[in-house]
Amino acid sequence: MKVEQSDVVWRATRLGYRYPSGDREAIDEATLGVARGEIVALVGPNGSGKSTLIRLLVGAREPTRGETQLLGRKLASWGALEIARRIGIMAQHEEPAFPVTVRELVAMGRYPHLGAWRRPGANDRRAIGRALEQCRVDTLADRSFVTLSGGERQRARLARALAQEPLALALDEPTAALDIASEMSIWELLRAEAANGTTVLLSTHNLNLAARYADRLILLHRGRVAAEGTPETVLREPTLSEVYSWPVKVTPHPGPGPDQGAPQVVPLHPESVS
Amino acid sequence: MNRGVVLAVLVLAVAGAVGVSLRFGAVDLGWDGVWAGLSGDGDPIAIAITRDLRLPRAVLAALVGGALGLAGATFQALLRNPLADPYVLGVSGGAAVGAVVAIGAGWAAVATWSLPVSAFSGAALAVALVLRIATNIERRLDVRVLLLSGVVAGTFFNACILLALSFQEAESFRAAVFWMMGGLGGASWRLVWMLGLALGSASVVLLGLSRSFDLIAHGEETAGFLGVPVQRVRLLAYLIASLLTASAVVAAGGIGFVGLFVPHTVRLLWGGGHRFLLPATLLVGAAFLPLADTLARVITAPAELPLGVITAFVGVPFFVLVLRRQTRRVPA
Repeated sequence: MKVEQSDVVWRATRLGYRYPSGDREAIDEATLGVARGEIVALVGPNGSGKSTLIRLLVGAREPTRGETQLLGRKLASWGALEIARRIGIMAQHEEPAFPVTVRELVAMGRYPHLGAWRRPGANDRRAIGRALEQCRVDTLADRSFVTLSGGERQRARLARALAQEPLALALDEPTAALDIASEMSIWELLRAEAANGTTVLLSTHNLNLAARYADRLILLHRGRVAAEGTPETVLREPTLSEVYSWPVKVTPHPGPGPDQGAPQVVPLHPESVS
Repeated sequence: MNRGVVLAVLVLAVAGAVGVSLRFGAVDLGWDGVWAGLSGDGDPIAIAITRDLRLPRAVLAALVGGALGLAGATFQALLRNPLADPYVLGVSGGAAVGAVVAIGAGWAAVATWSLPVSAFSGAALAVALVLRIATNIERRLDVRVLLLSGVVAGTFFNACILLALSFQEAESFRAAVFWMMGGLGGASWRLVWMLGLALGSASVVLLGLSRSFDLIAHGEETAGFLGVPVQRVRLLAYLIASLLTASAVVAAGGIGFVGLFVPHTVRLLWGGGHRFLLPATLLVGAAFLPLADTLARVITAPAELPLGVITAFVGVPFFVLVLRRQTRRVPA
């Protein structure tokens, strides 16, 4: 259990990846780290490599170059079940082929602990119940997953990741296409989880909420790390305008609230700058 | 209803279906006749009909139905598509070509084991071929292409059998037609043992994979993220489903659609994970096929209809129904 004491969850060194059909590196010389208990947001334009980077960091794809360490140990030396017992992963899309209820969906999160044969016990039921409550989907437990709204679906999927009782979460755009209340409830949930010591790595297009909730941002541009650090250091007008090829203005959050003063990004009308 | 109770009821249903299959046929023995024939004190003709003709045939029908249902449920879980079935995917056709090759080349006459081995090779090759066609450069499976290539492969295999047939004597001709249409006329205790062994061992392995099936059917990427060794499970399950299909084809030829509508019926009626779905599918298939075979024997008695005709008459409307539901749900 020595690895569990490592202060660094992920450390990637000069990571490179090219898709078999790709004409350029999807990830290029990416070096980054994620410490225990942090919320780190991966941001960047569409196609900048956010999803690919998450896949590399959880071992779903093997890098063509470079190396990742998970909890101080080479990622390649981890078994799939070992990883799944420690990291709750949420992909962008999920299209079930056959109907499942929310409870069945969340119960899938126990697979890494049960394997193929073992029967679920009291521990597993407790973890499932707690995850359902935390994500406020306990009242939807017997509903079919496909009948849920977008926000409810994401909360149910997050509940499955929490049912894994992970020490870190790796979430690929968990708040994509959600309304304000649904999106905020996910961020609040993540903040509460982080306060309990869970490490959170997520990708998002919402720079403003990332600036308010994340401890650090990693800005990707064409597979490279364009900027990295606190929201204040990453969200600068010249960098963002170049990376997103669009003029932006960065202005402090007007408040009220604990996030007052956090940098907020406003895209400008293209003719407003000469 | 409790899942255990459902399974118990299904076991009784299988016994009932075998009973019906024993009683009816060209001659209606009546329940007394069946009992007398089985227990061995009665009319020697009734004894011969029940013990030597109908019993191995009814048991074989149940085993073939179970094997096809189980193979269908497995393909549906792995391919994440409710339209997958050994017949639609061309796997039955591949097994039939393998069997016809073994007969035509004279191997089967020299060594009897070469028939099932050749059928299994045909089935496994068909699976590999169809999967290869439908796998893109990112190693992802396009299920629409897969079903299409399955149908094309199946048609091609039938053409191969027809070709082999045109060079054959009348006796081989009948054998080839048998592989294409399906039927239990060749039932024997030897086949019962072969299929029983295949089905028994396959069931144990598949049941062990059932939790992985739940996750893979839900989403391959998610399953991988939860620690399921997706590639290994798929390879093993494809092999076993091919084995089941090949055994069923050796025993009864190309019987279509059982693997399609049996798992569906189970899903519609009771839903649930594969730990229940797989055994329930096996049992429903095992109850259905003896009944279908009884119909095939009774409708035009004393002549027999090919069993594949009966299952197609039940299965094709079902296939269309499921297809319609899919096209209505999935926007182009």
